[in-house]
Amino acid sequence: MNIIKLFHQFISPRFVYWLSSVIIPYIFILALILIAFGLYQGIFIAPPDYLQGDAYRIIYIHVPAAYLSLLGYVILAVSSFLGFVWHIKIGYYAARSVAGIGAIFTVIALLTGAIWGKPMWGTYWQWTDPRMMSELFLLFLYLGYMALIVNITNIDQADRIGSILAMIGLINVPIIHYSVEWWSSIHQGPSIMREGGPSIAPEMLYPLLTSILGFTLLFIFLFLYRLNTMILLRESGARWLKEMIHE
Amino acid sequence: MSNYWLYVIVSYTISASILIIFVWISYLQRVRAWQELKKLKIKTGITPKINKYD
Repeated sequence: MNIIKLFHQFISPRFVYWLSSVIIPYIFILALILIAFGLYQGIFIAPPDYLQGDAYRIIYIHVPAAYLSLLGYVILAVSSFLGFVWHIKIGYYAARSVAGIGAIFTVIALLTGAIWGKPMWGTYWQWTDPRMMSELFLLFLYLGYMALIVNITNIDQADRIGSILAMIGLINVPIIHYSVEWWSSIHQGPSIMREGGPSIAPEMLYPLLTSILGFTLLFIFLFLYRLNTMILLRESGARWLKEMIHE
Repeated sequence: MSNYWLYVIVSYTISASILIIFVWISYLQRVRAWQELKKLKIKTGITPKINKYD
C-alpha cells in the first residue's frame, strides 16, 4: 500500500515539477561539457577514416540525433500508454513535451544524413532506401501527433486521440532499427550495437560514445524543461501551483 | 583542408542552429507560461493560508 502511495506521489505533477526544477541546471551543464568534449575529440583529435576521409566526422552529430529520434518516440508511446490506459496525467504531459524534441532530432538526423550521403553515395536522398524512408515516416508521425493535439479543441479528447496515434506509430521504431538488415539498403549496417562488438576503432568510438551521452543529457534537459512548462500550463488551476506563485 | 570538411562544417552549423533555436523557443514558451500564471494570480488573488493544508 505504501509503495503504491509512494508511486502516486512520485508521478504527481507537483513532485515531478519540484524534482525536475532541482536537477535541470546540473543536467544542462553536464550535457554541454560532454558535448563539447565529445565533439572536440571527434572533430579535431580522432584520425580521418581510411575510406571516408574527414567526411565521417558527421557521425558525431548524425548518430546521436538518429538514436535520440527513436528514443523520443519510445518515450512518446510509453507516456501515451500511461496516460491512455492508467489515466496518469503526467503521461499525457510527458507525451506532449517530448514530441517536439523527438521531431527536432529526427530533422537533424535526416539533414546530416543527407549531407553525409552526398560525398559518400553521390546523392543527398534515395527514395527507395528503407532506412531513410522509415526515418522520414518517423518525422511524419511526430508532426502528425503534434498537428492532432493542437487541432482538437477538447484537450482531454486531444490527449486520448493523440495517444492512439503515438502507440500505433511505435511499430515504426523496430522497422527503422532493423531496416538495414531486413532490406537492401545503401545505408551501412549497425557498427556499434552488433554481434562481436563495435566495428569502429577505439579512438573514433570513445568520442562518439561521449557525444551520444552528451546529447542524451541535452535531450533529458529539454524534456524536463518542457515538461515543467507543460505542468505550469496544465496545472494552472492546482492549489499547489497557486501557493507556489504566491510564495 | 579537404572538400569533405565543407560537408562537416555545414552539418554542424545547421544542427547547432536548429538546437539553439529550439532551446530558445522552449525558453520563450516557459516565460509565456509564467506570464499566464501571473495573470491568473491577479484574477484569483492570494489563496488564504488557512486552506493551505486542508
